[in-house]
Amino acid sequence: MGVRMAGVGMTGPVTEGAEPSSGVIAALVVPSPPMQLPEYVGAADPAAAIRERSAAALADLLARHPKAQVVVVSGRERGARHTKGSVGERVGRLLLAQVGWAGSVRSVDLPFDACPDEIEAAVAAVAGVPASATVLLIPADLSAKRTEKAPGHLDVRAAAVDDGVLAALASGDDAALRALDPALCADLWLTGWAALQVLARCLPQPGSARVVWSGDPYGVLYVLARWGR
Amino acid sequence: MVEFRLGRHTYAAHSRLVMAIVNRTPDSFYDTGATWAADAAKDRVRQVVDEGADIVDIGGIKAAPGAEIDAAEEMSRVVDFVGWVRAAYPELVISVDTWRAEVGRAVCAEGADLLNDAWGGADPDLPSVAAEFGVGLVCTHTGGVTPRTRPFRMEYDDVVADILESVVGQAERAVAVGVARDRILIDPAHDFGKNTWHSLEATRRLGELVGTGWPVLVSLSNKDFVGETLDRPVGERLTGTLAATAISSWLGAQVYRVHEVAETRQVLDMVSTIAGERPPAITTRGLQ
Repeated sequence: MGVRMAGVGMTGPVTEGAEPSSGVIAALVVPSPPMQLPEYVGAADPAAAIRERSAAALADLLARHPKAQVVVVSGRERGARHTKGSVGERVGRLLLAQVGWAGSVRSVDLPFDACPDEIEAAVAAVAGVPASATVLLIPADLSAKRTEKAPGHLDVRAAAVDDGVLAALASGDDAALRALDPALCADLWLTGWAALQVLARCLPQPGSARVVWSGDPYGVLYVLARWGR
Repeated sequence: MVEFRLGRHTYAAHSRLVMAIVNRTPDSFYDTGATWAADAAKDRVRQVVDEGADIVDIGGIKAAPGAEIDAAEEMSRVVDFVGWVRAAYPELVISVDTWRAEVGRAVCAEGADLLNDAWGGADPDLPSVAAEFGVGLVCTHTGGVTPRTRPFRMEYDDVVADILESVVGQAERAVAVGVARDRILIDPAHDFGKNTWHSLEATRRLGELVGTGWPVLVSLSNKDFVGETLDRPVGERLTGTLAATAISSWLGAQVYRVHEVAETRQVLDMVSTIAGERPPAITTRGLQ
């Protein structure tokens, strides 16, 4: 691992009242651009700040839930031309390694354009060990069509849809996430859609919800958001 | 491959040919409309011929996303122009950069010699047009992306293996529908469906494409993989382009699709001479 951050890491449990003993207790949505993976970093590390911000938020969350199991929930391309695994899963595992997480980790992935059965299967897979308290780590991005230089070029519909997703993440509005139009999201290259469907179903009506950061330096909207039961 | 043919010409396998880009577009990334006007485009053709271009590659649609250009508009940009080039330069090899079969048919009727299918078989009828008119075809790797889309998080287990499977498959299918085997070129298509790491690997391992026996075309000119490698914007990528050109030519590629013809011609001649395939222009030093 080429990147190590001072001041970020597991520093021992920090309890926040009584911890729920089972089910999904918290979730962290993090940006998932592949440029933050070590295999894609050149001489410069343009996503260092994004990765470090995610790692800091993850370290803080896991410090509050030191006995939880972590499930990385990510989207993947259907019919991928490679066997590397989803970028999201690799980002999730990178962040977990970076914060020194030694606890349980499982991965659940589903196609970016998952059908209802595939979403339900992913939800069931998340709930696979119901006796354990579970933290979801969800690498998921919003539209990649926000500017003319964006990977998907400009789609003028992107801003409104992204704003709606940000508002839903900020307010814990799982119904709004469920109500997203999958065809529109696919058009907008909103690759986080499927993973956010899993979030909405696994942690409905969260007790706390916050968007920690969002930004679109490359025309793709990244978001760092945290939900708690 | 012993030799290959383009237009009226037959070329040895070790040939190094310059294909000059002639954009009939108002918005291409490098020249940003410099040859949009017909007169300017004609001047460009005259210039590149003077500078030693073997082929002109005429395109009516920029590769990047943008306003949709339908077939009728594309044809209005390129068909008559091809006719003018054919009349003005009977020996010049004329290539047209298009993915559409109906545009291909129209330009072949005006005398085009080569269809540069830069979007990797997006229109499956294009090879049949090449066969119908007895012209050549460039088979290109895009990773399956839709025409005029940028790569987004493309990954391959082995990008060169993916390139080989795609372009050789396209070439064999083209032969099967009647395109002359010695008029087909393959192009790894740097930056198309590829990040910079992919394009660098395709360059490094270009010998594997040459080893298939199909003549290889490379389109390196001022592309983002050069820009990202050297952290240079468009307009400052010539040196990097020429370095990649030298490496590609040493590895055996035959055709170089470029903006800067004179500089490319010099690099290719230098490499051909180092390789012992072209004599120096003059030798008197130490021989007086």
